[in-house]
Amino acid sequence: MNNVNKYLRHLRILYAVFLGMLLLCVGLFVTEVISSDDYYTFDKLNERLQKEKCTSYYVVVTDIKNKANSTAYDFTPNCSDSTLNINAHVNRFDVSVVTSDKAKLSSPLITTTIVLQFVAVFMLLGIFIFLFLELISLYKSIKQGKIFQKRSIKYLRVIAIMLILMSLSIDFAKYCELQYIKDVLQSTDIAVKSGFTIHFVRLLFGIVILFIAEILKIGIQMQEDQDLTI
Amino acid sequence: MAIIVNLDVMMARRKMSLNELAERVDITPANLSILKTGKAKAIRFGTLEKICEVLDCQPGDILEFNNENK
Repeated sequence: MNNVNKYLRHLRILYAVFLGMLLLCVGLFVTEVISSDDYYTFDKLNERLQKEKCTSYYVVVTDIKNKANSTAYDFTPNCSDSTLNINAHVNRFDVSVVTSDKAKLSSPLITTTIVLQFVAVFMLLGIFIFLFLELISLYKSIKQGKIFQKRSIKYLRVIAIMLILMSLSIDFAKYCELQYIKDVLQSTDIAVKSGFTIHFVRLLFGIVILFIAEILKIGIQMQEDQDLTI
Repeated sequence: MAIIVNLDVMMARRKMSLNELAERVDITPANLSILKTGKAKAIRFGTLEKICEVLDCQPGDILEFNNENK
C-alpha cells in the first residue's frame, strides 16, 4: 500500500509538471499568436531588383491605421538563389506593401483572416481557463486521496480539441494572409510561393493530450474497479 | 447484476452485526457495506475465504446467481 501511495505521489507530481509545461506551451502559443514570425519565400525577384543588386529593395507591411505599431514585415533579400525571405509580424487588421520606389499598395486584411485569428485567440483563452480548472481538479483529487477525477478527462479533451482547432485556424489564417499578400504583390512582378502548411508540432501536441485523456479514462475505470473490489 | 450477495441473510442467521463481521474479517465496515448492498464489482478469494470462515458457511450461501436480474 505504501508503494502504491509512493507511485501515486510520483504520478501526481509528473501530472502537475505536465500541466505546468502545457501552461508554459500555451503561453508561448499566445506570444506566437500576438506576434508571429512568418517566413515567406519569393519564387523570383523582379528584374529591377536584380539590376539594383538588392541594395535598395525592401517591402514592408505595416498597420495603416496605427503607424506607431507599423513594425510588421521585414524582407531580407538574398540574391544568390533569387529568393527573398520575409520576416513577418501578422497581427494587424490592415496591410500595406511599400517597395523601394515608394509605391504603396494597401488594403484591409480579408475578413476570413481576422475571424480565424479571433477564433485562435478565443481558443487560447478557453485553453487557459480549462487548464486552470484542470489544476483545481488535480488539487481536489489530491485532497480526496484519489488519483484523478472524471472531470479531468473532460477538461483534457476540451483542451486537446481547442488546441487542434486553434492550430488549424492559425494555419488557415496564415494561408489566407499569404494569399492576400500574393494578391497585394500581384501588381509588382514578385511571385510569392504560397501553399497551405500545417504546424505539425502544435497539432501533435493536441493529439498527444487527447491520447493522455484516453489513458486517464482507462486509469480511472481501473481505479473504480479496484475501489469496488472487496 | 445476475450475482446476488446474500451476506445480510447469513449475518442475520449468525446474529452478527456488520461492524463485528468487519472487525473479524479485517476489512473496513464501509467496504463490507459495499459488498452487502451489492455495489461491489469483485470480491477477492482471500476476503471470501475469511467471510466463510467467520460465518461458518459456503461461498454459495453468500453468493447466488439469478438469471432474471440480468
